Amino acid sequence: MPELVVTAVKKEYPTRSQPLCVLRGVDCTLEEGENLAILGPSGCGKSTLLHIIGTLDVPTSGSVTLTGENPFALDEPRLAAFRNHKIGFIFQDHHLLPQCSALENTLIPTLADGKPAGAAVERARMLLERVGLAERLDHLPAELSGGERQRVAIARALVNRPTLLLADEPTGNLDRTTAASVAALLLELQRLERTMLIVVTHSLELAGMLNRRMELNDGRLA
Amino acid sequence: MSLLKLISDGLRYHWRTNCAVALAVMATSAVLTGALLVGDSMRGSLRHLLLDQLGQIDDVLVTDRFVRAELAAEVSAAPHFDDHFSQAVPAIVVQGTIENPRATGSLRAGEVTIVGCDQRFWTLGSGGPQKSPGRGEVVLNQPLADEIDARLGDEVLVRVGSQSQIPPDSALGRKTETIRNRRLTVSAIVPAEGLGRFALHPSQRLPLDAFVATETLQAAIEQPDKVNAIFVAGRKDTLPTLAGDELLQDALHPSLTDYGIDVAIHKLGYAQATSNRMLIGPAAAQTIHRAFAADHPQDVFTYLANTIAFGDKQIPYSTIAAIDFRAEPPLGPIKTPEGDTIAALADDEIVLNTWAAEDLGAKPGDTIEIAYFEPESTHGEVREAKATFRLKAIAAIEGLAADPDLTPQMPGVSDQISIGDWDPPFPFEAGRVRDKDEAYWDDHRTTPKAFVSLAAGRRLWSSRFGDTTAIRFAPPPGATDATLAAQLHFDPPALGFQFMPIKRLGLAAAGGTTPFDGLFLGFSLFIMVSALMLVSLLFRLGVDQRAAEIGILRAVGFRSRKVTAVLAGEALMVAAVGSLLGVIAGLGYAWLMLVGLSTWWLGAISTPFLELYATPRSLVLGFTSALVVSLLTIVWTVWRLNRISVRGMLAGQATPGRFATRRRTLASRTAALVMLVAAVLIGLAATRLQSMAQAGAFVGSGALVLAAGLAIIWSRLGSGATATLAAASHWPIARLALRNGARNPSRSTLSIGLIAAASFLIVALSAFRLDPTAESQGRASGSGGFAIVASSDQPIYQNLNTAQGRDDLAFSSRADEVLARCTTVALRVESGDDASCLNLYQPTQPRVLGVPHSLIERGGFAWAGTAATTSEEKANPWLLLDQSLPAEPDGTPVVPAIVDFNTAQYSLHKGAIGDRVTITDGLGRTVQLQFVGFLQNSIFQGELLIGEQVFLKLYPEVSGYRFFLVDTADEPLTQVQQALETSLGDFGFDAQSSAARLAAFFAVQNTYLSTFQSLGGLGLLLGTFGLATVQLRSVLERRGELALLRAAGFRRSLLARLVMIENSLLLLAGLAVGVFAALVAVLPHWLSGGASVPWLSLAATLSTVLVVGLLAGLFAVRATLRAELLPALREE
Repeated sequence: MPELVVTAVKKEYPTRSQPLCVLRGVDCTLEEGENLAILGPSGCGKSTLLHIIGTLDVPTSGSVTLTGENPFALDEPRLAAFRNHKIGFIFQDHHLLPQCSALENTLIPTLADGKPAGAAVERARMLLERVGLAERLDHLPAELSGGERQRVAIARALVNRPTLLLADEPTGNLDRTTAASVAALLLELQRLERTMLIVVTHSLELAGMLNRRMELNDGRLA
Repeated sequence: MSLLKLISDGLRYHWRTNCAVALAVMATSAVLTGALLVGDSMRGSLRHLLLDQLGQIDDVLVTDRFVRAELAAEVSAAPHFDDHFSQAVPAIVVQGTIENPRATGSLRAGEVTIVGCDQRFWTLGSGGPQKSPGRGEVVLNQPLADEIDARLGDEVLVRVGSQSQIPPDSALGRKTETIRNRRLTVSAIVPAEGLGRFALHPSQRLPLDAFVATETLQAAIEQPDKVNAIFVAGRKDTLPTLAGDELLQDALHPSLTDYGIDVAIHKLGYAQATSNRMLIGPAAAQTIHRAFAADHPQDVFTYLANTIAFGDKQIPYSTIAAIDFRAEPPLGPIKTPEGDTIAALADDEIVLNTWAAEDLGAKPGDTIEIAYFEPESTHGEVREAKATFRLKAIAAIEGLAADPDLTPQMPGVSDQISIGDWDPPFPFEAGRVRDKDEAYWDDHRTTPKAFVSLAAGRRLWSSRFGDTTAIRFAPPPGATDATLAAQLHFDPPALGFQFMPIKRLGLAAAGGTTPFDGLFLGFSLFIMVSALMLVSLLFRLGVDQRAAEIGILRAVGFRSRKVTAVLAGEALMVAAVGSLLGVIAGLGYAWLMLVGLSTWWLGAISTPFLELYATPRSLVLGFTSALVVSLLTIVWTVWRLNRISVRGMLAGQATPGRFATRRRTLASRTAALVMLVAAVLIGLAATRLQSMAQAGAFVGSGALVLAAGLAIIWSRLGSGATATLAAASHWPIARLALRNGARNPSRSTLSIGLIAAASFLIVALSAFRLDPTAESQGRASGSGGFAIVASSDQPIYQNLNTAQGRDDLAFSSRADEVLARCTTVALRVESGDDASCLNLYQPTQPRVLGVPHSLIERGGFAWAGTAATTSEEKANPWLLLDQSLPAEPDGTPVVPAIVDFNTAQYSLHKGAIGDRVTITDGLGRTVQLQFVGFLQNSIFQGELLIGEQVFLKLYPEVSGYRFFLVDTADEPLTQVQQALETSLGDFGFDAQSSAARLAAFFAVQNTYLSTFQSLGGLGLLLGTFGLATVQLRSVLERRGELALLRAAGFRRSLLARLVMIENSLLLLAGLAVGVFAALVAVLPHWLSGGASVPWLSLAATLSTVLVVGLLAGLFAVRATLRAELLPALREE
């Protein structure tokens, strides 16, 4: 059975006239180590789909199962733990804590479950080394470039060894060269970690680097 | 588009932030204006109270002798009297005791002002009864009626002193049966308003007043048709002036009768001036001599000899005249039976008349011994002394030697038909009087039996009351009694006839002992600083929000100064509105303070009399000051933006970059170090200071520690030297919260500062609370080891330490037994203004006490500072009262004095040893009192203490004792109190435990502390508001980050905990810094035992602070929990 199964996911938003239907029944599956690019025009619901898969949003109908578990059946604390252990997020904006160093930012998800174990600190260091920031562990976000900040965000997303990595326009704020290197890095790490990866992007260049590509059009994935 | 439009648009668009800033400015302005208005209200209320209780009375004359009631009419008939005054009303004003006798035990009130008056008195002001009291009636004011639970129609006992003209402390003065009683019916009870609140000495406390008909009081004190007071009313709706008061004094021309002086031509041809007080005082004697200098004045000093003895033969109770014989009539000669004129006597010579010489069998050359009472008595104990003379000659009882008028009139003696009828005020052994003595009395009355020289007589019998009983002179031809009297022009003030400008002095005194506006401003300073911190904080939050907007302005070419001008323009409008609202709120704040002072904090002012007064000056000052300080704070905040790059601001950065922070971190650490060093230096210097100066220094030192603490926190947060997350350590969420706190060091430090300032104020003030029980224990305490402090309305002349004294005062055997085991120290009292903290009026002439040698030798009491130099003086600073100080170059005497330090500092505004105050003595002379010692928290608050010997020189007319300290040894306190009050009730004796007296004084200080702690509570409110605002703002700013944390698997509860911990860390840091700084401030005070920290209530207060702060943090938590996750992520 696939690790991620998205079945007939619909998402409607109430409006003054009639409900706005963003997703009209999305289906998709993903196996371990697979990656998928979701393309589509602005406002088509790519990010909404990503957020539903990432359990940040709730579908109007349909289901999502990750490693056989339906997260929407969980209560809030368990859902938070589910997200913490199984999902890693990378956003267009890095959302780094400005007061924390690169290493500390990477460790932030480990705090949700208590104190960071020594192993977690080592893993964070390792991840930062892998993203090429071995010399910048103690630097604050303000002292890093845009690409470097996004690399910290990638390391942060991977620190808890998630099953699923979700990236929402991860290179949207970066220049072409930096975007390419960040994308390469993301894919390399996904491969090494054997995690599933879904990237929502406008960038055909980035989408082209992934194994699978699907387009969200009129609320359906094809 | 113009700059003004830009400003107005900014104001409108950012109205929420601007409203918050305006509210903080309002708080500053309200506190500032409120403090000024409290001062206005205190002064205004004291002034209103004074004008109300005095009505139209501008001046009052109260003399220590009784004068004709017509004197008032004579004063009002003086030229130009009508220019300043409307009428002069005669009255009697005495202090007495009123008792409501009951079957179940009587109720008594002492220190009652008893006014003998007629209907004219009630026309002087409001508040009078519908009908003046008639004969046998008394009108009580409400406080007095309440005190003795008297109702209309009740019969009450009125007790007053006998008002003897002969000083009771003189040997021939009456010391017993000095109280006069009258049973009167209460005809009306008037409220304590207008004249129903009349008092000679201004005080906001409710006086106890009783009003009776003049005739009733005259009859009680046996002074028919006489009065001792004249009230002078000013013209309606005009305030008294110095010119008016001078004119009034010039209009005062008492007659010789009023002075008690008589001058008359005797049938023997001489003229003689005498006094109804037996002795002619020095001032009067000087005037008489000056008036009749050309008429060869001759002083006579006649005294009573208990015994004239030769060998074993004695003559009892004779008068001896001390006089320098003259040869020429009409003042001489004195002749022998043989007709020889007796020449002037040497100081060891005596002349007996023939009757005495024959009775004793003495002849010239024999040694004659006389026994007499020492002229001054102490504690009513007259002591007999003896002197020997050589009999020079024997005088025939004829001519001047047969003149009974050589002896002054003495009621009860000279007016009696026989010696057996004498009712003398001195110990009299009637059994010694022989038939031949009665025969002499029948034949010659008071004719002296012996003569000595004037110098000899004065050496033996002169006293502070005088040394002359008569002044004789040869009247010029054609002189009559009237022409002679017309020649005498006494100086009224020198004889105690001095109008007191009661209203003018009272209005000056209404300025108050304490500048309340200054006091409230001082203690509100922390609140104002808090409010300004809040102004800065809120404005900074607004600026942070607008960093990009400011960046755009700069990017499009606005110079930084212009950007500052735009923001400052906005700020000016905001500050102006805030300040204006603050002035209005300040009225409410002041009103609330006054309500507090009239209810919860009544202990600070004793009586609820305060009304809200607002002067334009205070309102304008409050508005302007708040506007300026707020604007400066805001401009400083704006100016900081200049350090940020345009690019940074465009990116939303509102704090300087890391490099700048490092530099400032260094600067702040240096500043913290400097402040800590300064705190230590001030703390060390404070150990050399005294009392309140010391306390002030320690508080200053604590404030520096607080500022240093904040600087250290700021630098720690700014440098990022906070807990690391990159380690497997405990409390990860707390560490993350700490890092969040460090995110904006200035904002966090200001939040901490707000809480710290309020906590500092609350804790530091707690330590200055005084505990009356602790302060009244032991000889080195504020009570000096005396368990009881007592005072009496009427002087007590007897010694309470002797069985004889207690017997004279008719102590019961049980009371005598109790008192026998106690030791009493009696002090003399010259009445004056209450200068204790219980009176808010500025004292003009404080009460003076004469400290007896027994107390000086005994020592004791706690000292706040002394001028002691020798080891003896250091061990017992009371000895300093015995030293003599050089007089001023103009001859003004300088007298050493001891005073309670609080009285010196707050009432007299003198805080250093060696400072002086000027007082007027009993003879109207100016005297300077130089402080040689300050008592600490003592029962003597409000009194000026000088040595008894000096006291008697300054106030010779004061007889007896009215202030008592009782060392109860092991006797139960209540038994001693009961014994004293029961036995001495007629004297208006009021015995109070020292602890109770101290408690009354301390209640004032403790209540003020409560008041100012409440201000601390207000500061805390601001601090909590600031903290909540900062946290809320912080949560809103970090919505994206918090959403990411949730995306990363943080539960809502975990985020809530994170935010709560952040809030708690700021709160706890504020509390810790504030409490630590406060402890530094009070530690020396505490270690020295001066502080009695109410730990329990303090802990409760701080716990409340914590709880309120945490509750405020819940707002931020609530915002965190309510925040929508996805919009936050998308907005970014």
